[in-house]
Amino acid sequence: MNIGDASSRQGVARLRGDLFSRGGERQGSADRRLGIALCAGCHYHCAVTRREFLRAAIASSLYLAARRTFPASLVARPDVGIAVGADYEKAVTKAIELVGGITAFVKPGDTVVVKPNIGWNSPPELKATTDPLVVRAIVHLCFQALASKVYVFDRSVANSRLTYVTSGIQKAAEEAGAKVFHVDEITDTMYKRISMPDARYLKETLVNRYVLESDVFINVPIAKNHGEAGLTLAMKNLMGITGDQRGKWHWQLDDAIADINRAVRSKLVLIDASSIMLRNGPTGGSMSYLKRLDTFICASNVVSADVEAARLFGRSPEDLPYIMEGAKAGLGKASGYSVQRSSV
Amino acid sequence: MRKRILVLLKQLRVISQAVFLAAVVYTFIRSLDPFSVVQNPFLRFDPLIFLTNPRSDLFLIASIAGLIALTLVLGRFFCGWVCPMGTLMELSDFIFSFPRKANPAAIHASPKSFLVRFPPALVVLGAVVVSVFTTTSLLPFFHPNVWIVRILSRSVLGLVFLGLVFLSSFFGQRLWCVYICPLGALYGVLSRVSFLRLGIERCSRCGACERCPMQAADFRTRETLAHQCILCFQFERSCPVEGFQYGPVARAGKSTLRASRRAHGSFDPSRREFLVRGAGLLGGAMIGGVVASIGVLSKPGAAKLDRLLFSPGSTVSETTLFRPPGVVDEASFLRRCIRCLHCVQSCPNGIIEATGLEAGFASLFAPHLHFDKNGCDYRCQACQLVCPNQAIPLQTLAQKQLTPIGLAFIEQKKCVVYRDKKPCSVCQEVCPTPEKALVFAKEERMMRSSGPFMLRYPSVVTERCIGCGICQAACPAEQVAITVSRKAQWDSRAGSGRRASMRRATRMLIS
Repeated sequence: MNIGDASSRQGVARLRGDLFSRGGERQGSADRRLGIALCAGCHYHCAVTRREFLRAAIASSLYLAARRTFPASLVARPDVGIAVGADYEKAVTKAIELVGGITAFVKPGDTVVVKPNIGWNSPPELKATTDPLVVRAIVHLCFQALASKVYVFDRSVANSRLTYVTSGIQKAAEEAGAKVFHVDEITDTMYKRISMPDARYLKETLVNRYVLESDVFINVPIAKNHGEAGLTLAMKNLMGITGDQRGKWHWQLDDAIADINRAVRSKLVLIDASSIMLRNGPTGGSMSYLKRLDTFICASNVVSADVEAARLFGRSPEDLPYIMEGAKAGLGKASGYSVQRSSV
Repeated sequence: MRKRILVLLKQLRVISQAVFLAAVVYTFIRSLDPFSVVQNPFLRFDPLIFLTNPRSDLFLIASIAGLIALTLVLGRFFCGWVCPMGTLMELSDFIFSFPRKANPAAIHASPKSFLVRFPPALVVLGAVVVSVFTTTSLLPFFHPNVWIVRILSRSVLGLVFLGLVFLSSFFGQRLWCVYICPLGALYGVLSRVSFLRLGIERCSRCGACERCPMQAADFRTRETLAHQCILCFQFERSCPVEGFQYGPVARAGKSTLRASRRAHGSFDPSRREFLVRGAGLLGGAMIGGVVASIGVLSKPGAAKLDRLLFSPGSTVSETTLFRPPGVVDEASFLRRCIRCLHCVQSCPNGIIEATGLEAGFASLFAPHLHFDKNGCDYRCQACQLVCPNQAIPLQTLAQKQLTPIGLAFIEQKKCVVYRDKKPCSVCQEVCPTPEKALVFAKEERMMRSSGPFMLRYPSVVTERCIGCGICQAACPAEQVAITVSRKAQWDSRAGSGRRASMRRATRMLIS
C-alpha cells in the first residue's frame, strides 16, 4: 500500500478537522471522511515513518500558527450564521459553528457572561423570555470550550424571583453548571458607573461589573415585538445590564440603546428566533401572537444580527433607528455582510 | 400512675411539641417562597377560624371534626401537645419563670382562684364567636397561632407581643393559656365532657401539684379542673404517693366527686359552676356583639352597617383600599381575614401591607396593596396560595387574571407624552394583559434634534384593565401620571355593562 504524500496530507486534514473545526463543515466533510478511512488503514498495515511524522508535525504547527495570526484570512467565515432546526440545542450549536464555533470566542479559562432576556414573569412557551434550552446549550458550549466560569443573569423588569423560575432559565443554566444570581440591588459591588462623554444620550450610566470584568460577553436575546423600540433584539437586550432607571431611557430610547451598546460590546450574539412575538410585546401573553420559525441567528456583532432578525419580522433596519445608530457608531455592518444558512 | 409512665408521657409530649413547633417554623419559611403551596396548618385546621369561613371542604371539615373528637376523648391535649403558642409560653416560662414551691403556710389559705375556675378566656371565647360573623371579628386579636405568625414575621406588633409573653412569665406560668386564650377555652369547654380525665386518686396533701402550670390540680378538693388540664405530665411524677390517674371519667371522676362532697358537705357545686360558666359565655357574647357594632359604626356610619348586615354578599363597597388579587367582596373578605399577614410575607413584590387604623377598626391589620414600588404580578398567586382561610380566594390563574383590583387612569397634565411631547410608552410596554389594556390612542410623527420619532399617546382600555398597578409603579414621570384607583373602578362599573357582567361571571366562578 502506498503510504506516501497523500496519506500524510490526509493526516493533517484529519487533525485540522478534529481540532479546529468542531464538526468541520467548511473543511469538506467528504475529504475528511476519506482521510480518516486511509489513516485507519495506516494503523493496521504500516508504521508511520519518521519523515512522515515530521512532515505532519511541521504542517500542523504551521497551520496552528497561521490560524492564530490570521484567523479570518485562512477560513472565510460569514458575518452572520443562521441555523434552522426544531432541536434547539443542535440548531444553536450549528449557528455558532457557522460563525467560527465557540472556540473562536471562548478561550480556555475565560469567564463568560451569558445574558439572556429574563425580563418578564412568563413561561417558556409564551416566548417573552429566551428559551431555557438555548441558554443551556450556550452554557454547555462555553464549558466545552473550557470556560472557567459562566454567569447567567438579567435585570428583570418584573420581579426576578419570579422571572428566573417561571422562565425556566435558572434551572436550565444551573443544571448546565452556570452560576445564576440576582442583580436587582443597585450596589457598588454589582454596578460600576461609567461615563461616555461622546454619547448621544447616556453620558453616564451604571453597568454590571460582571459584564465589564468578564472575558466574553454573550448576548442571547429573544426576538419580539416592542412598543417603543419597535422590536427588541440583541441591542435592546443590553438594557438588562444597566443599573439605571430604565424608564427614563424611553424618552430617547434609540440613542440610549446605541450608547449602551457602544459601552459594552457583545462578543457573541445569538438571537433566539425560535418563535417570534409579532404583537403585544414585549410582554406577550398568548401563543396566538407567536410565529414559529425555529431559527437562530448568530453573529459576532449586534448590528448585523439585529438586521437579520428584523428581516424575520418583515422590517428593514431603516425602520428601527437604534440599529442605524449602532451601524453609524461602528458596532457592525447593517448591510453588505455575509450570511450563511444551514438547517439541522 | 407509675413514675416511669409519667416520665415517658412527658418525653413524648416534648417531642410532639418540638415537631409541631418545627412544623410552624417550616411552614412560615416555606410561605416566604412565592411558589410555595404550603399553608399554615395551625390556621387552616382550626375550629374558630373555620367559623369565619365555613366551606364545604370535606378534608378540612373531617380534620377539624377529628380534632374536636380527639379533644372529647382525651381532653384539652391540643394546648399541651400541639399548640405552638403553648410551646412558646412554656419555653418562656422555662427561661424566666420560677416554679411555684409548695408553701405549707399557703396551702390551706388559698383556694383555687375564681379566675382559674371561670377564666376570662370564656368571655373572650364568647366575644370571638359572636364577632366572627361580623366584619369586625375579634378573632385576629386573640388567636394564639395568628400571634405566632406575627412573631415569626418579626413585625413590631409580634415583637411587642413576644415581649409581653416574656414579661408574663415573671408573674406566673402559661398566663395566656389560663386566662385569655379563646382557642384554649374552646378546647377547655369540650374537655369538661371528655371521656378520659386526669384525676387525683390518692393524696398526701403535700402541695407538690401546686406546680401545675395551668393551676388545674387542686389537692384541697382532690380534683383537677378538666377545662384547664392540658395533660402536660410535667409535675405529676413528683407526687409522692403516685396519686394521679389518667383514665375513663368513671374511674377518675369517682374519687374527685367523693373528694368534693367531702370538701363541701352535701352541696353539689356542679350546677352553680355550669351557671357561672354559661353566664361567662353569654356575657362574652354580649361584649362581642357590642364591640362588633362599635367597630362597624366607628368609621363608615350607619349606611355601611346596613349594607354589611343586610346584604353581606354585596360587591359594592366604597373602600378605597386595594385588596389582594381575587378579593371581590369586601364584607366577606373582612370577615374571613384573620390578619395573620402571611400574604404580606409571601408577596414577592412587597406590595401588600397591613392597614392601620386609617380605614377604621374593621380594616385594622387587614392587608391592602400599594403600587409605589411595584405592581401585582400578572402570573403570581403567592398571596392566594398562602392564605390559610381563603380570605383571599384561591382562584385559577385565568380567574385571577380576570379579577380587577382597581382601574388605571392617565392624568394627561402629568404624562410626558401629552405634556412634553416626549416619546414614552413605558406603561404600554409593561402592561401584562395579553391584549394590552394600554393602547396608543393616536400616533404622530415628530422631529427633534436626534431625528424623527413617533409620538404615541397612551390610553387605558377600561374593559381590559385589571388594575394591577404595574404601570403606576413603572411610570417614569416626575409625578406619576398613571394611577390605579378604586373610585375610578366603581365609577366605570356603573357605566359599563360589559365590565359588570365580567365581574358577575368572576363572582360565579369564585363562589
